[in-house]
Amino acid sequence: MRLRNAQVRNYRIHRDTRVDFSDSLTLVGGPNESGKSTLAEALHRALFLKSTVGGKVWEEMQSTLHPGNPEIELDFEADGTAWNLKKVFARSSGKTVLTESGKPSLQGTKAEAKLADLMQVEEAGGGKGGTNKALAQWSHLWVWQGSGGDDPSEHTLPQRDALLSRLEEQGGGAALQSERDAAVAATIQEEYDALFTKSGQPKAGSSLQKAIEEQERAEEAAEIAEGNFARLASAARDVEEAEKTLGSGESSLASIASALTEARERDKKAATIRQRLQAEEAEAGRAAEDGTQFQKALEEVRKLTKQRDQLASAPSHDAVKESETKLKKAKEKAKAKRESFEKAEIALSRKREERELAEAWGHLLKHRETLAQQEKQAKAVGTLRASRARIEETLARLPPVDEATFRNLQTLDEEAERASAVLEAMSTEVEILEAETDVQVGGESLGKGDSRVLDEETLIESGPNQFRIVPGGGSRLDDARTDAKRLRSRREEAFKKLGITTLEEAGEIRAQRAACEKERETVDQDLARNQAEEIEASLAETRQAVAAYEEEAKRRSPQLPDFSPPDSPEEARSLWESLRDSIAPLESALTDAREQQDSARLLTEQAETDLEEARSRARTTEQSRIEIEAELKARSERLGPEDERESRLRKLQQTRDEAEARLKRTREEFAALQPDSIRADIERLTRSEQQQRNALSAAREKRAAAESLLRNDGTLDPAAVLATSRAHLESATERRNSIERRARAIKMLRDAFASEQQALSEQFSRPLAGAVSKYLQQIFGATARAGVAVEDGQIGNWTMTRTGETFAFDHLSGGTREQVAAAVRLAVAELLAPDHGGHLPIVFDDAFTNSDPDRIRNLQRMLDLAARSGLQVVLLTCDPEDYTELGASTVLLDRPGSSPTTA
Amino acid sequence: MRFLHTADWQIGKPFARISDPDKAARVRSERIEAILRIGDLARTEKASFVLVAGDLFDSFTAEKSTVSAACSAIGRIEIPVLAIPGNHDHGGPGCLWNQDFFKQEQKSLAPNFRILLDREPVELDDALLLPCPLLRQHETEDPTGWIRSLDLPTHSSEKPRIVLAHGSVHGFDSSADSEDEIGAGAPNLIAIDRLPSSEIDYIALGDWHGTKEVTEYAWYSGTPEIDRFPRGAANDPGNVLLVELERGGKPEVEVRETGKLGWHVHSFEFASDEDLDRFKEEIGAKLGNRAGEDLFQLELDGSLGFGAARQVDDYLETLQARLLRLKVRNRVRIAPSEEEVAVLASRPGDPLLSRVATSLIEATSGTGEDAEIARIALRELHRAVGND
Repeated sequence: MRLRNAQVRNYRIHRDTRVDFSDSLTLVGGPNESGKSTLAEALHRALFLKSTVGGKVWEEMQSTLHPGNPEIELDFEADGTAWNLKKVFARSSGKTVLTESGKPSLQGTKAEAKLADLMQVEEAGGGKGGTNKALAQWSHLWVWQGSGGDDPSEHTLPQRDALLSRLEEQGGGAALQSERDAAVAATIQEEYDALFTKSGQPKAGSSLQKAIEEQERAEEAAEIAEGNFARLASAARDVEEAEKTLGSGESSLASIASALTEARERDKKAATIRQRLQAEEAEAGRAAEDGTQFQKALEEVRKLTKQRDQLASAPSHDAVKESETKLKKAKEKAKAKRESFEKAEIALSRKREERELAEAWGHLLKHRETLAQQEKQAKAVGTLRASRARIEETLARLPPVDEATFRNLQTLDEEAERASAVLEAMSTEVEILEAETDVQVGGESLGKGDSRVLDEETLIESGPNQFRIVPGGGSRLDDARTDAKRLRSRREEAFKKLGITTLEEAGEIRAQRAACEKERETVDQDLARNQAEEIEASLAETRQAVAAYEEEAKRRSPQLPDFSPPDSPEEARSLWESLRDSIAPLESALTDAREQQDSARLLTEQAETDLEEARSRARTTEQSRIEIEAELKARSERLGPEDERESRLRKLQQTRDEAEARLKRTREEFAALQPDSIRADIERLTRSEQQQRNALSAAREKRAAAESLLRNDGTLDPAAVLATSRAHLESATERRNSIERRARAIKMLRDAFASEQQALSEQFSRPLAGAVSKYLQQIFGATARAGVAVEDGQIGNWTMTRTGETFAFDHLSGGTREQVAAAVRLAVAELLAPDHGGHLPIVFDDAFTNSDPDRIRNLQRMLDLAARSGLQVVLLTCDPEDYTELGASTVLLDRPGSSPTTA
Repeated sequence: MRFLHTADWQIGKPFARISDPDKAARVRSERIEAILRIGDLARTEKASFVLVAGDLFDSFTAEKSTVSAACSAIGRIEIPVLAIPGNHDHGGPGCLWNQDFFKQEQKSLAPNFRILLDREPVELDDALLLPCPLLRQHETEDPTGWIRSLDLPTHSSEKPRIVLAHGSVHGFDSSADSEDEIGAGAPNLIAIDRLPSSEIDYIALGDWHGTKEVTEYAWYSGTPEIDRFPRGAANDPGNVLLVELERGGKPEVEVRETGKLGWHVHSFEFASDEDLDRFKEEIGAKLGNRAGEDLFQLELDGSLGFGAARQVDDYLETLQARLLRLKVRNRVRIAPSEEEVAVLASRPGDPLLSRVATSLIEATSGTGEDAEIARIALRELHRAVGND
């Protein structure tokens, strides 16, 4: 089906608008309110809305500007031929005329029925419902303004069957699930739902859960029964063990008791002996102590007597005397040593003085020699200095004509001479060759033979004769005269300043000065060569040194009256050396003397200490002797008379020996009873008896406890209960396994249904997605892919995959949604076109308002591909300049009143 | 002199694996009935006494009602009944024999009954009994050992001498013989060859549930009423022994059947779905028209299609009703037949079902657990589609 042209009259804004459609691409441009959307609406209503429509729908179609009912005439191509459709919307008197080319027209309901047939839609009924249905027809091909970004799924819904049958053809004859398929799948799902929760767990109350619970209960019951039975068996063992313990325990207890009685008797006897033993031990101790004490006192007295005797004969007084003698000798020796040390000290000091004096003399003599030499040199320097003073004097007297001054004078002279020569050349010479009278020339009288050079106007009078002589040259003569005069006077002035008169004189003076200066230079060189200033300085120093050494010699001499001064430095040197050599032995002698003196002093000190000690010892000895004497006296009195002491001692010893013999006997008797082990034996046996009693009592308790457990009340047989619970567990486990296996089978079935349904769905969705992908790739590049789900015949869940990421339609941006929706509509239209003779119109009314310029450019490729695939694309836009690359035939609408222009 | 030798009455055995409590009670009560049948036999054969060689009760802590029922039945035998404790009802600590309740019931209901708890000779009117009671479940020493120390040759009695013992002799032991044996373990070994054979006339043994002649003067009587599925044909339970005896003579032993319930073991392999009828015939041959008197252990192998498997299940359900117990070891591989595969997987009108079935059939090809689950899933699908 394809649109050819449309004529719209009295339809809202349109008074009479005609639009011709291209077979492929038509662009309808125009500003807002120029009627683009109204045109799209008019086309749609002409095709699908009954001309007899009334109510609000009809009212809104009316034009407020133009009188008359809305009228649309449409030429289109369908079912292989050309058709003309004319509709006048006039409520009940609305008219529909459909004319197939070259055939009689169809009118009214017949025309409407045929039209629906051509459009392959169900004829809309009357009333509001019918109208709404009519307005929703072909919504997959009519993209109304503002709905460009809608999910295309809902718009393709009415085309589902046609689309699925097309897809079935393309999917290699795949069929959608049958009713039976669905019913069985539903049954399996129901069975699954009866067994499992949504999360795949066994459902409470299901046979599966019941079987699991039953098995778990059986397991628990079996465990309890096992426990009860095991307790019983263990109780039986306890009884047996307890009886064994009781049997052997009683006899052990008897033997322990008899051993204990025997041990206790032994213990009693041991106690008696121990008492006696203690008394005897005390007695023996006392006897031994008495004897020992007496013997000790005797011994003490003997010892004190000996000590006293030793002290009385002690040599402490002699020692004191001896020490005193030693001290005296030591002191004498120390004195002698001190004196020889002092003597040696004086001798050494004297020699040192001599050596100092000899040294002073040595220096003095040497400096005197130096002084004599330096004085001679100083005299020569004095002569040179006198000559120099004379030369200086001569120079001072001569005028200061040096070389430069002389050359200056020469120049002045030459200039003066030259000026005079010039003047002379210009002047006139008057020579008196013969004169009778005085000839007055310029007021000066000249005689015969005189001549005058006249360089100015001069009056010559000779007698009455007067002659005026005017030399030539005019004013230049004056200048020459002035110059000559000035230069001569300058020369004269220079000479006068120097006190000379001629240049020759100046030359002589210059020669004299040069000779003098040369002579001064020679004298200066001599002075430098003689190091005049250094000589003068050294001379002063040497004089000072001589004076200083003379002073020293003078100071040292009175102490050494025997000292004969040397005559020469050499003599002084040898004297000094001989003195130096004699000093060394004196120094070592002094050291020896000092050491002897020190050691003698130490010996004296030691002797003093020894003496002190000897005195102290003597005092101590005396003191001790007095004390011992007193002690001895006291003790002897206590011991009684000496002759009775021995017999008393013997008596004490005898008493002691008797007590010890008695004690020894009693000890042996006690040891025979093994008193240490008696106590241990009693403890051990008592402990053992108690343990045995405890063991017996524990065994009795254990037996009683076990017996009470074993005393069956007879209502239940634990062995039978155990057998029953085991059997029950076995059958419950078997039942559980069987039900679980079936449950797994149901799950497997349900999963198989799900995955096969998915696979089936993919067989449909793949060609559809492929068709859409082809359009998407025009905009988004070769990697773009569309995705779609076909489930239970529903087409939906569109996605787009780009650069590996998949986005659901709802999550795409506004612009991208418009483009993807358009691609879906184009693909659907392309799939459906074969049912309409290979062509279908598709109308986009400002459907890409959110798309950016780049996308719009690519969008045009997509639309062009659609056109090339047989679709008739009609694009209405207020920005026709955006689609210049589309290559569409363009219709521009103006605002009301104007007619459209076709480009 | 003649007497009845019996053992292993196992009164009070719970038969816990019979899930229907009424049926379990029926099997339990049949053991009491067996006592009455022994009483009848004793009367008709004019036996002097009945010897029970251990395990009269199934448990040494038998419950009161069991004790009462057993005492009542024993009381009706009228002649002396003498028993030793066996490993099940041993005379150890806590055993029923020492409980006041047993003593009371024995006194009032079975004055003819005597439990022999001591290892010492018991002189009866016409026999000398040498009882070897078990005083714990597992005796570590030979319970007949005490007899060897007796000076039997000089014993005054000239009455026939009978050893009464419970346990295993060389080559026979009952341990782990039963699916619900509790505390099975080391057997109580009886060295009968070490007994002074010339001084003893008969050894009455218990513990082995089949009737068995060990030597010409030593017998296991077996249990008088079968209590477990038999293992092998040589096992012959459900009898008591009628023994004719004189001092120094050879015992004459007669085996008398006392058992009532049928315990059957049957194996069958399904080669194809057509074997179903043969299977039914074989079972029918064993069961006849009886109901409520038999117990079956079925060992099923082979493979079946879904339809045939359902029929087998239906048949087993019927058997379940008729039998006191049906124990099935079902190793039959249930896999769809070719037609069933076709019905499930070739459904041009139902593409989803076809695909699901195909994927499941693929998954069944293995041998692991997943393959088994897949087979069950396939069967569920078969049922859900409405073919089953």
